[in-house]
Amino acid sequence: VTDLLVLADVARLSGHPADAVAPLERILNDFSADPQAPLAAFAVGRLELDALGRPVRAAAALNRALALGLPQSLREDVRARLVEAYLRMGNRAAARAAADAYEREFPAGRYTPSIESRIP
Amino acid sequence: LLLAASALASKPARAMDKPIEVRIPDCPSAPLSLDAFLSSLRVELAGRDPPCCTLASPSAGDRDEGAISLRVTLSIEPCDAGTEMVQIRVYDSMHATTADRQVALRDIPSDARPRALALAVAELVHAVSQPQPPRVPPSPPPDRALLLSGAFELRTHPNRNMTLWGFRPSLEVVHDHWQAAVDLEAARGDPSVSLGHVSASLLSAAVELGPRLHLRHFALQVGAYGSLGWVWIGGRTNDPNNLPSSGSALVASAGARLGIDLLGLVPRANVQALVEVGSMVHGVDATVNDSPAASLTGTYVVVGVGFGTEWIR
Repeated sequence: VTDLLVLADVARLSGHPADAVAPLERILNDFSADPQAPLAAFAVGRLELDALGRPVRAAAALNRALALGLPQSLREDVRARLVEAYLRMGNRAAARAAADAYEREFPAGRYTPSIESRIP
Repeated sequence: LLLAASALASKPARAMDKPIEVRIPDCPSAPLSLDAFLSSLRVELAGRDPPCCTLASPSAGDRDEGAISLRVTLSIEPCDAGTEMVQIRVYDSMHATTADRQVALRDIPSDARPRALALAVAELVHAVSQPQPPRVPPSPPPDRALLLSGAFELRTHPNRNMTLWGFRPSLEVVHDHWQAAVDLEAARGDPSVSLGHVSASLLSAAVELGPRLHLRHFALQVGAYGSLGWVWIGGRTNDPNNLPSSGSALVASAGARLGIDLLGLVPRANVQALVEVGSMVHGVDATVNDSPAASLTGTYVVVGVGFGTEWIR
């Protein structure tokens, strides 16, 4: 896992974010019980959404991060990012459902104003 | 090349060119590897503006804020390996805003903590860098209401020797910039005629429809008005040689009405003033010796003042 993370980090630091996805996904597929796996899934979600502009893949990775048992402190970020990913996909129904899930889990969350402004 | 390099070197730095400043506590023993955290943060912020990162002492103070775009400050209190909470603060010098969050470490294995904390910081930086959602002003309540009002009125028919005093209760429906009203009118007058007095009593119902404009402290209404009613007229005389008579008849009128509601003087109530000008479509004459002496005919003018209250909104 450490080696795969280093590979992904080198790719990202050298300006090749697309090359970072494969080693991170290898962690998800082959070492999903490792404590770094949910963080790797979150990292893939961020890469796909921010650097690669692939919201469908981003949503899948973010959902995987939640399923793998992401630390509590990061769940709010992932829930908010899911709303963003679905909106960028143009799937308003899924974005609405993701926003509802966010508000259920974080009723006074720090992303609430941003989410409400985008999904009134 | 030298000229180009020189031009680039002398180009004033935009805020986004300035690196993110990171302040990490000087802990002899911390709940996570701060060096590993910084490495992970560089990865998580790679490829974005502003670039990551320069290190600064936590006690550096805020002297040189123009040289940074964002400042990330970590606080670990108490500063020892057993602490399970890290406080993060991101200061955005461009917008002079600050965002804070806490990261609980208790459910994160120690080897995953640096990356988890880096992800948390990167997300806070991402959130701070996003354009803030526009402040949506609270939408005003829908202007839809049912109003009850009552006005005391003076009704006069110029050149017809007819002036009546009365009361006009009204039910008004307001929707957006329109108003519809149903009025009842009860009025009475005793104009003098050559042989005595004429007693006139009017009872009518009317409908009004027109625009209603809400201004700062008052509402202005202009409406078309039509009424249908019944009038009772009887003569009174002290001359024993004349025999007074009485009768009743249908009356109808149409006109225009201007109303002003002064709002907010009393909670849920307003002061009303109205002017109505119209013409009798079907009127009645009171005759003395076969000549009209007082008439509910021709043009009429009504002025009134009263109160209204919001019944249902």
